[in-house]
Amino acid sequence: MKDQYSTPPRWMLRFFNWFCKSDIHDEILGDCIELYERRRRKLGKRRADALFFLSVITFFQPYYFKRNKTTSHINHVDMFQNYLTIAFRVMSRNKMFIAINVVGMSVAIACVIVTWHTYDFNERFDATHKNAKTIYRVNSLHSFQNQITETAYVPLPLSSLIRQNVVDATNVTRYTPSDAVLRIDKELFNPRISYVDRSFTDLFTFDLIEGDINSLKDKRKLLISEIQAKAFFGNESAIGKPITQILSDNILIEYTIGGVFKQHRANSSFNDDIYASYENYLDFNSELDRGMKWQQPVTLFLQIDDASRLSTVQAQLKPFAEMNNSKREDFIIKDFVLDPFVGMAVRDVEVAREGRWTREAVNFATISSSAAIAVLMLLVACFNLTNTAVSVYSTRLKEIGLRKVLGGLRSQLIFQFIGETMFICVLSLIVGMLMMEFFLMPAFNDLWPYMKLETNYLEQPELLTTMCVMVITVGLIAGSYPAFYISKFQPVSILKNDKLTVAGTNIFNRILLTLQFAFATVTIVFGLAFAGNAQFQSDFDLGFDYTGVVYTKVENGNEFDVLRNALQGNSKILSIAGSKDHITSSAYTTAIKHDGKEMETDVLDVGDNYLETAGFSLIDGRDFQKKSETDYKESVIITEKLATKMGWDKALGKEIIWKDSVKLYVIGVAKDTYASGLWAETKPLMIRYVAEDQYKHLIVSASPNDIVEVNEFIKEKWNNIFPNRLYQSRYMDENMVIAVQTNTNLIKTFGFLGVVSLILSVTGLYTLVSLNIIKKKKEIGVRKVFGASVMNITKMINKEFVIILIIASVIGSYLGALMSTFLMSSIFKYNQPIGVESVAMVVILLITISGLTIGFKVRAAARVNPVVTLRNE
Amino acid sequence: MKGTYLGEFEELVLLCVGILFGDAYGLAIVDELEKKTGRTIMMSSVHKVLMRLEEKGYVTSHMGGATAERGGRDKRLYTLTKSGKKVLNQSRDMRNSMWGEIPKIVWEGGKV
Repeated sequence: MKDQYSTPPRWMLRFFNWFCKSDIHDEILGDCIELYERRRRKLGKRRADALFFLSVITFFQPYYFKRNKTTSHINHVDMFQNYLTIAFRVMSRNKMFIAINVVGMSVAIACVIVTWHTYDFNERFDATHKNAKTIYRVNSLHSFQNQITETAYVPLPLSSLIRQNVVDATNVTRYTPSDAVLRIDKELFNPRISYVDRSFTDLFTFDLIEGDINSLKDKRKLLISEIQAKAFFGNESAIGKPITQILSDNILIEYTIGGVFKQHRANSSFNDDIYASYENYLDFNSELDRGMKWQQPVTLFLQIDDASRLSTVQAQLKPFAEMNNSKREDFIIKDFVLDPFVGMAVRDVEVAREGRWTREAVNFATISSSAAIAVLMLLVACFNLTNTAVSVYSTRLKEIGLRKVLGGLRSQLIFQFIGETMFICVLSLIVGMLMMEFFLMPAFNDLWPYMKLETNYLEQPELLTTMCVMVITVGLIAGSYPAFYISKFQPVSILKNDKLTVAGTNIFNRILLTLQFAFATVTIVFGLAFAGNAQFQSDFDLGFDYTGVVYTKVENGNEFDVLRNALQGNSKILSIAGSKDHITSSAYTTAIKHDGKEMETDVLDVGDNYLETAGFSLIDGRDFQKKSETDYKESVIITEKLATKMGWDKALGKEIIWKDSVKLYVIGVAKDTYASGLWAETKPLMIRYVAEDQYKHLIVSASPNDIVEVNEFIKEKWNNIFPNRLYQSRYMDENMVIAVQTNTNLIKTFGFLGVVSLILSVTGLYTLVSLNIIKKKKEIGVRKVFGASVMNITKMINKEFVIILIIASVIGSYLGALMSTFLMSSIFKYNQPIGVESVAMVVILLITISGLTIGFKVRAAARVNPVVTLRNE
Repeated sequence: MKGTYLGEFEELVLLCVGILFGDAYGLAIVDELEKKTGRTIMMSSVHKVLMRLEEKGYVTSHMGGATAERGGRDKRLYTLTKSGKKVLNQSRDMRNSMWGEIPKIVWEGGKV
């Protein structure tokens, strides 16, 4: 008989032990092993193993499975109360840590909510229009020198042509925003007014409050918004009330209010307060030739119910493009395209659509950057919570040991700890939501007034679900690592040595801390970048004087003359100029040729003293001579940009062909003017000289300190001369004001985030350093006994954190510089990205702050008497 | 309790428990059944049946007889109870009486 008993492979045994009922598995296994022995003798080990495994498999049926503990003897209700009590006690003992974490988490949550709102703004853009899917805007494909630009406007006559000839297109409507001077009783207003066709209200959905939505079929009726009605008539019903429009030449047009509608939300293409029939617009502007002037652009919408007819309609539009080209050789249209209304606003803002007169959506760069920031903030807060949790739990080891001894399960402990973390997260959610409502949302709306975000939880259930999901996820992520790690400790090791502490830093903690500091660096770099940019932009020379200039519109040369005479004698006025066009107010684009080379340029027709008053600087050549006939006919002053584009070194005297026949000669070159401010690339500019009878603008310059006073003076004189007309003046610095505001907003935002993330990171650092010191107490003691100096000890503790800081700063500054440059260039065309010195400053700042934070702690630890630490051996 | 209906396999196992008086445990019953019936018997079904029979009260078990071969594990040894014996007898009696009612002509191969 063989004496050697071998057993089947251990894993098979383990497998069997795992699934089989414990009360019977022993004897079954015994039988199987006996059989195995028999087989091994007869057939060899291999076959025996295989057959053994087969037998085990045959036992793999529900009858033999282990039953779960049928009754849990845990009293859940009482345990839950205990958990709550413990949670509260823990929090009150660590108020500082918990408070910082809650604040950090709330800010992160608030950021997420804001991001969600901006995303929702675009998602629900124009969502209120029921017919959106069948509405299209007609765009033109403008062809110039082999380049095709899709513009949002079409020639005015196209509307009638489509209406008469294209059967599939219904509800064709024109849309031209404008402004008007309106008088109610004796009061004058100057609101925006939009001229639309009757079908406008059929096409787009309006929420009518009172009156008739179809009022516009009557030329003399107006549709106004609720807000406008309140502004005009207070709390009285607006329907049927008379209102007068004052046109130029003092012509009066009488209207009555036909209907009042609820204003559309901010994320809507149309944000107008007053609609009037398009017929009026045609009446007031006789040069439009009853809508047949091809040079006049208009925004055109139409409806096509059957989507399969799209291509047919498209084909029918092509001949109209030909018609345009035959009438306008200076503006060639290759074809018309049907731009679907759904998503139109979002597309427009992405491609910077030319000629867009409807409201624009938020551009993608804004949404993506705020999303990135929100996610990063959330991660930072989350990791900080993990760090804090680990360090706080290390003081509760005895509790854990005791509970385990008394029969607590590891799963119970994990449940409790994750629950506590979840509790903190829920608390942060509530604080975050409150912070949103009362603090952040109003601040955000102050910063970006055109957005007008509002939280409406009933209408946006996805927001609530998103927030709950987010909180639960964050709670789980933040809480699981500490919970699992801490609950693993065995009671014996805990209770035996009550000086046992949780390990201080391990690879996980170090990575978290690095990420936190990197993010803090990124936000601070952002803040600094925009601060530097703001400085750069405020010093930027726009090429014209914008701080001390104010202008107003006049009807013609006569009015200009009258007003100018009235303004004589005011010593504060430096100079007065008249002009037909004015930079930032009006200009037109045209094509010019030189030596066969063709180019598009902006043109300003100006009058006497214009360059001086508006602050243009001539770098070459001369200004226009007063009343010179030659100058009127053929002299132009160009900007540097035009000269460069033409490739001219010496521009003076060069000949320009305009409209194919008119010869113009360059008499002067001016410094570049940034008419679109810093937002978009500047265009080449050509300035022509016109006679006084064509003047439409009066421009006044004064010193920046006096300009407001001067404006009041002009207003006074105006009201004397034109008592029936509203004095409207504008300052030239509007573009700059917006740029400054944008910069300031971004600085404030990033500054705030930077401070919060810095506080979080520094807290995390402090926690980790403390833990490290505790862990290394004995080591420090021993080293001191062997003669290490305070300096040595300090270096030893700090070493690993210095590495972390350096890595974090490098990553953070690089990423920060990259991202801030990206964001900046998407907003401003002309900007100054952050420089190396500023980045270096940030890094030094970070290291200094961190150094100060842990400095005292480390020094104190390094000076501890070794006897104290080594005593309790 | 569950019905006194005794399945075919259960009856076989019960008979084996009787045959192997004193040494009736899982593996031995499997061997005996294989020898007597000539068909392959799965150990899992035998154990299952044994546990059912114990639930029904037809057999009773005790632990004993650990050998080195089994890795030192005990065997669960089954013995018939009074009701087990009774049900076996009942079964045999019923079969025999039915067998006896078959007319001779069937055995002699007569035609209808």
